[in-house]
Amino acid sequence: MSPLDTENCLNHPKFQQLVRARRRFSIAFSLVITLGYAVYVLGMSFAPVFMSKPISAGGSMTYGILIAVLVILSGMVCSGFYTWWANRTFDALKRELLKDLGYE
Amino acid sequence: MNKKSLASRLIGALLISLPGGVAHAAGGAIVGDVAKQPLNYTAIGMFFVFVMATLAITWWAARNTKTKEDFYAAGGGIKPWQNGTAIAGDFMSAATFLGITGAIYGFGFDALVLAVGVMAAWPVILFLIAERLRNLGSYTFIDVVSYRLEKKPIRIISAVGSLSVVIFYLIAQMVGAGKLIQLLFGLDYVYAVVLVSFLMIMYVSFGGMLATTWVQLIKAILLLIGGSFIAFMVMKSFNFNFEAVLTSATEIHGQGAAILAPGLWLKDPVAIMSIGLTMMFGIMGLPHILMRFFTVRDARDARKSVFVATSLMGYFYLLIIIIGYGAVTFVMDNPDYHDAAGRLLGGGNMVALHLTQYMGGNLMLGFMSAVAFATILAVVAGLTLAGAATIAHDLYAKTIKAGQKVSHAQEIRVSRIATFALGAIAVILGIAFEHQNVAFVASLALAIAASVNFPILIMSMYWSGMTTRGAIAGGVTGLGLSISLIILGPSVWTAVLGNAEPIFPQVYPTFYSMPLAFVAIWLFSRLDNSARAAEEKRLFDEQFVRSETGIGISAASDH
Repeated sequence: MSPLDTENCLNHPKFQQLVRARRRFSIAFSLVITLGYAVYVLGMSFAPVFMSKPISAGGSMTYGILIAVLVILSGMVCSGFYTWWANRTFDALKRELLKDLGYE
Repeated sequence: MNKKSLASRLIGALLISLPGGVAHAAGGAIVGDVAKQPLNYTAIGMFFVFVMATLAITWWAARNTKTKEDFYAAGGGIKPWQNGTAIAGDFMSAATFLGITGAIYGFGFDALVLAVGVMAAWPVILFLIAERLRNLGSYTFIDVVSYRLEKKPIRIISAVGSLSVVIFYLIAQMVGAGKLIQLLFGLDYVYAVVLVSFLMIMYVSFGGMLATTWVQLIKAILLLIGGSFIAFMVMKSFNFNFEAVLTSATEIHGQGAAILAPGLWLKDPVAIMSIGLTMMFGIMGLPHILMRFFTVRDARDARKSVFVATSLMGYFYLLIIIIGYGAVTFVMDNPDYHDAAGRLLGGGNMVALHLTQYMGGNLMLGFMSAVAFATILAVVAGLTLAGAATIAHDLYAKTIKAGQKVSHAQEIRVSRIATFALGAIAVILGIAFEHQNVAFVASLALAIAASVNFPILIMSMYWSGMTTRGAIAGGVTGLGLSISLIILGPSVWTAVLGNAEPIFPQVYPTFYSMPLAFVAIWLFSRLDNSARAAEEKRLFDEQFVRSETGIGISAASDH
C-alpha cells in the first residue's frame, strides 16, 4: 500500500468512525474488567476484613469469593458481548470502508 | 477421633509441603516431593490410547503440512471454536487441575488469584490485542513488534524474551511430568522426561501447528468432561447448593472460616499485587499463546476464538473452585487417602485425583490420571512449536538470512532441527533439575513474559512514539530486572542457594520490573532523535491502518 492510500484511509470518515467506535468500546470494556480485577486484588491487599465478611449473617459465602466469581463471570459475559457487538457492527463498517477504498 | 484435630494436623503438614507447589501453579509446573505410587494399569492403558489417537492425528496432519504457513500456523485454516478450545487447553494444564485445586484445598481463598488473574487477562487480550495481532502478523508476535522498527535488533531482543519464556516453561513442565508419572502411573521419573520429549518432537516436527492444535483440543475436551463430572458429583452431594459446599469445608478444614478469606498464603500487599500483575500481564506475553492467533483466518475469527477460550476457561475455573473446596469435605478427613502418619498420599498435588477416585472409582481415576499427564504433553508441544518458530522464522530466516530468499523447505527443515534441539535440551534440563526446587522457573517465565514481551508488544501496537532504541531499552530493563530480582528473591536465593534471608523479599519481581520496562521504553524513545526514529514514527500511520482494517493480512488456507 502506498503512502497516498494510508493518507486516504486515515481521512476516510468511515475509517474514523470505525476507529472511534472500536476505541470507545475496547477501552470501556477493558476498564470494566481491569477495575473488577483491581477491586479484587486491592481488596485482598488492603481490605481483608471486608473480603472475609459473609454476605448474609450466618452464611458461608464471603464478599471475597463473590467478587472472585463475579470477575470470572464478567470476563465471560464481557467477551461474549464484545464479540457479538463487534461481529455485527465493526465488521459491517469495515466491509463498507474496504469497498469504498476499492479493496473488495 | 476428633475431626478437627486430625484436620489441623493435616493442614499443618500441607502448609509445609505446599508453598512451592502453589507458587508454581501460577506458572505451570508441578513441584514438591512425591512418592512413587504402585503401577496404575488403567491409567497407563488410557494414556496409551490417547497417544495412539494423537499419533494418528499427527500422521494426518503431516500430510497436510507442506508450506511454512502450514507448519507455523496450520495454514490459517483452524476454525475459531477449535482454536478457542486449544487456547483454553493451554490454560487447563496439570498445574491448573492439580496445582490450583491443591492450593484451594490447602489455602482456600488466596489460591483463587491464580484463576481470577487469567480470567481478567483474557477479555483484555480480546479488546486490545487479538485483532491487531492477527491483522499485523503472520507467524509469531515478533512479526508484529518488528513491523515498523529496525528488524534485526528487535527480532533478537524479542527472540531472547520469547525463548527464555519457552525454555523456563519447558523445564517446569518436564520436571512436572517426571513427578506426575511417579504419582499417576507408578513409573520412573526418567521415563516421563524421555517419553514426553519424544512424543512432543513427533507431534511438532511432523504435524506442526495442525497436530499441536488437535492434541491440545482433544485433551481440553477430555479434561472438561472429567472436571464437569467431578464438580457435578460434588454439587449433587450438596443438593446443588454451593454455599453448603463452603460451609462443610470450613467445618472440616483446620483453618475453619479462614479458607474463605484472604491471608493464608499471600501475606503482604506487594506480594498480592505482584502476583496479580504477573498473572494478568504475563499471559499477554506468552509466545505460544500469541502464536495461536495466526492459526485462524482473520481478525473476526481471532475474536471468536478468544470468546470460546474465555468461556471455556471461566467454566473450568468455576469447576476448579467447586472441586477445590469440595475436596476438603471428601478427602481431608478420609483415612483412605492418608498414610499412617496422617499425611495426604502423594502430597498436595493429588487432591483432585483423590476426589476423582472418591466420586468415580478407579476407572475414573485412571481416566483423569491419563488426561492429567496428557495435559503436559499438549502444553510442551505448543511451547516447543513456539520456540522452533522463533528460531527458524525470527532468527534464521529473518535475521541470519535477512534479505535472502529462504525456501519453505529450508525453513521447515530448520524448524525441525530446532524442535529436536529443544527436545534434547528439555530432556537434559529435565534430568538436571530433578532434585531442584523448580518453582522459580515458572515464576521466571511469567515474569519475563510480563516484563519483556508484553510491554514491547502493546507499545508497538498502541504508541506511535516507540522507537527501536526505546523497545530495546525496555526489553533489556525488563529482562535484566526479572532475572536478577528472581535470583535475589526467595525462590532462588533462599530455596536454591540455601541462604537464610532473601535480598529481594518477593517471589514475583513484576511489581517493579514491568512498570520500569515501560518507563525505559518511554524514556529512550523520547530521547531518540535519530532519523531512523523519525521514520519509525512516520510508519505508525500505515501500521495503524493495517491493524484496524486488516488490509494486507497474511493469507489463509483451508483444510
